[in-house]
Amino acid sequence: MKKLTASFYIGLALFFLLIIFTYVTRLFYDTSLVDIGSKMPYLPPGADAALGTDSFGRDMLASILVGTPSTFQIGLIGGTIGLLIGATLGLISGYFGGKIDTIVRTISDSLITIPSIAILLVAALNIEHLTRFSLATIIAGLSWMYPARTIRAQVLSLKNKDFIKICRANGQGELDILFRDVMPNLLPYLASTYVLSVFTTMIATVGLESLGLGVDGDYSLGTILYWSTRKAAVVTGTWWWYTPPILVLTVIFLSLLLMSIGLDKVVRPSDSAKV
Amino acid sequence: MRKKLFQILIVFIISICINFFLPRLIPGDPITASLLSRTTSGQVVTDMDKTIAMYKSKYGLDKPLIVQFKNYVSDLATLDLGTSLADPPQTVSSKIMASLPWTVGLLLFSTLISFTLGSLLGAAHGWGKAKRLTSPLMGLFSILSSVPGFLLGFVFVAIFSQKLGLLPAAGGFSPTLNFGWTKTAVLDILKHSIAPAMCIIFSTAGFWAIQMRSMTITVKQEDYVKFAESKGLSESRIFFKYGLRNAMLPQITNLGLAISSVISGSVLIESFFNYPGLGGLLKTSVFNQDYFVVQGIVLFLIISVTFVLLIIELLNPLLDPTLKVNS
Repeated sequence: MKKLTASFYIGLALFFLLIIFTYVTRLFYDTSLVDIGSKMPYLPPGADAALGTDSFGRDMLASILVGTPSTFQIGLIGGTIGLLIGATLGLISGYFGGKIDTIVRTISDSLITIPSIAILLVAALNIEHLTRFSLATIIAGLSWMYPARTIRAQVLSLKNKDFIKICRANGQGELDILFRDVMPNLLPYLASTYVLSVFTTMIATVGLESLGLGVDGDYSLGTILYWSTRKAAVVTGTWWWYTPPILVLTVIFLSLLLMSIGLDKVVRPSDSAKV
Repeated sequence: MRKKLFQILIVFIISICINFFLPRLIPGDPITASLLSRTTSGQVVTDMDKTIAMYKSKYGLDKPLIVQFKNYVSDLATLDLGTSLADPPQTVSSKIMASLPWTVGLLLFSTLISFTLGSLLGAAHGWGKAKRLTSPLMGLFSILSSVPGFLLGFVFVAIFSQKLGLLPAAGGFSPTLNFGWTKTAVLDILKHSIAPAMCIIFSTAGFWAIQMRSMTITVKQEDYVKFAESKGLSESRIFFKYGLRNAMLPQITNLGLAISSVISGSVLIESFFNYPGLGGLLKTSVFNQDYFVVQGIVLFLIISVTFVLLIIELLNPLLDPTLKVNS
């Protein structure tokens, strides 16, 4: 296996630094300041509130500390479920082929063309008490096709390699081959699609939340953006309201992008090596 | 070809089924919820129970599921999507039709620019000439494409409308505008579309560039390119006629795969800008709990994606002569 590049490690470090920063700061900072009216509204960043307050008197630093873990959790849960569904289906349909393959591919090709925001909206409007887990599951149900496609393609190229033929000639069981011999070769691909799964889940979540929908009673980065748009923060010049969530989101997405670029170089060495 | 068309048909059928069954499988009653929230927000709804019963029988929600599905399909065929719950005399179809030109105009225009710009950049970068110029651009657009487009909206509005006062902050036209083919009207509408269009372009161009880059790298190693080089053809001719043209084909297929996420993204961008298109309508309808309008828009999005897929499928043989031979 080719060595992981620096961009992967930088991305990984950024990602974990942000998680550690959020969770450590929460220990020292009073997060109940996120409640409405805990401070004067429209305070600019300064001595009274480090990052200022919004029009409801919510402390912005507290809002960020409360909101970031929600986005992380949904992203990681949704990404994991999406990868599990996608990788399993991709493995099975690629390895066994035939009817299973046709069915999985038809469903995945159909789902991939439906704008996910549309189905998410229908679901979010109809489910009365949306939890983080159920939202993550719904998003995963709409995004497993990407890992499935990648894994299937890899399995197809692997399954006729000589070492697999030898395993079969030795009388090893099909499932045994699939999990003990095919799977380990897929690790870099699994890692790369996992990053992308987390990424798509987070993008979908933030988008939904920015429309004022999302997890019941959750105060997340997307919700902050929703209220700042509702209250026209950009026009009133309350830049400290929308800048912090945008910055945090940008760091999250950038770290995921760097990780995926780093993994891509392992997954597709031909692309980068010959340029 | 025929297999592809069949697949598009399946996509369409699955989608309209999801749109029908999903809301009905989930517990809860949108009409009651919507009317209740209207009363709590101060609107007067007389004879609650009667109104609910009226709505239910009107939409056939009191009938068995199979009858409902039959009605749903026949309503679809006649494009009768029901009446808006928020402002009753208006039909859902009329609301969608009123906002459609805005979305089509904005999306078509900006996707075309983004696709061309991104593909050219990716191709130039993959070809490996003028790296000093393309590398920073590639980096910038890759980063921008990793961030949801509507986040860029905040930045654009803060800079171009808040700070510099050059562009309007939201909407699709000035409130005082007289519609018509006058110079002022066209300029006004164009001016309002610049910021949302920039959001769509900047947030998607990177995606096309990345795809095109790896396609071009593959094409560049092909024998026919080496042959063209050894024939002594000019660099630009090889790039445009041999490289770009062949790398472009999979890119068109990518357009079909990506169209759904492009639409998802631009719905959010539109709703951020309160653009009078489908995205803006969606936002107000979600906010007003205007259930039938939301469902109508969702349905419409699905239909338009299948339509775009169909067009791409029909265009493909024109672009790639080998496909014609094979079928």
